[in-house]
Amino acid sequence: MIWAFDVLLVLALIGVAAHIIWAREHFQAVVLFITFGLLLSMAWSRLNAPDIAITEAGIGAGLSGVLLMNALKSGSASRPGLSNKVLACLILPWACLMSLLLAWAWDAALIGSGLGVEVLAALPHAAFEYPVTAVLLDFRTFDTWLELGVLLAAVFGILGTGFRSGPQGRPDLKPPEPVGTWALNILFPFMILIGGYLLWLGAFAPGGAFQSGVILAAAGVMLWQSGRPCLAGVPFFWVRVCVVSGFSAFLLLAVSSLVRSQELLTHPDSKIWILGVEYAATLSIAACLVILAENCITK
Amino acid sequence: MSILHALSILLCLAGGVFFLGGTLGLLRFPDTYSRLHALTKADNLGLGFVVLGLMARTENISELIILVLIWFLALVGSSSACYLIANHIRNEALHKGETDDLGL
Repeated sequence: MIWAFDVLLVLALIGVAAHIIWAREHFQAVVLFITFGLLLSMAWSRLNAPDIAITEAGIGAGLSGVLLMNALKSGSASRPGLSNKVLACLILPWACLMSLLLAWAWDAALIGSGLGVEVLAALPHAAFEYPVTAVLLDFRTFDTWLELGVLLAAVFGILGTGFRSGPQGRPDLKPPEPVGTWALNILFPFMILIGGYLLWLGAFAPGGAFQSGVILAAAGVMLWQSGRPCLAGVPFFWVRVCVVSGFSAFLLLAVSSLVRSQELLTHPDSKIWILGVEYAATLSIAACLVILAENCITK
Repeated sequence: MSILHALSILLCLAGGVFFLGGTLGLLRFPDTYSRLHALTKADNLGLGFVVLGLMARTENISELIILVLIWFLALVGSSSACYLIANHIRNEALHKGETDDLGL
């Protein structure tokens, strides 16, 4: 009986996906996309992955759906808001599915302990002493590589469309603000210091490339907000180098592991390799986030 | 030691009272300017008391310096953020020509 449900689910997924591609209207496509997310989250739960199912339902169907609806509304001013009936048809099943999944995940979390034991057992072979950094950069390198790829794709999208950019294809500078400048003069050195400290700390304590990159990016955005050229002060060639450095470092690691005829994304025992990748990733995350912020913050 | 402990507890409690006052102001004051005033004044004072209370419990000089640094950075951050928010509201009100929201 359950296999019939699985077959139906797969057929429904393919059918809805085809409908999204062939939908004439954007609105119809968005509603179908949310439906697709709900079906997909059911598929994940059939594959025994409650965490991915919840993420799919919450971010894939819920948050992305809201964002797409919002974009649709701001794109065409003439369109009236979503009718209550359609909204109820979408929100009710979503809420039901979400609560079911949460209840199930709660049960699963009480029974299983995840992969924590395996990670701790493999930790002596990792380049890092801190388990979270070891998982991110040593055990699940491929995931982190793809995350940097997503960030890169977002930046390419924004730079490609020239969204809210100034005359030279760069966002306009803000007029200098006396108090902002005063705060910047005090906070900026600390932010650079703390960013570097977190990067160094990641090897053996909470910290690492993502946290450090976010703080450095915040420093960059503050610099730009107080009316100074942040990335605009750097030749655009080097900005592009910074943006792609993280992704390319992972790519180089992957290619080198193939040349050394080892498994993909493994590295020699010395720490230099993985530290180089981490530092490049930090630079890349910081540069990407600054570009995203500069282009998306409204004046 | 016990005097230091008691002092530490007293100072932290005093800090808590100021935080409570600031939160009450945030919830009850009528406009953004007074809410900002309640937040920045009362909370910075509260944080100062908490930091002082924790300083009485530090074991070495580096912890002491870190605590003072936290307070200092929070002061810089909150006071400039307060000014920036208030200035933004004022500019918007000026732009719209609403004189009653200028806080004058």
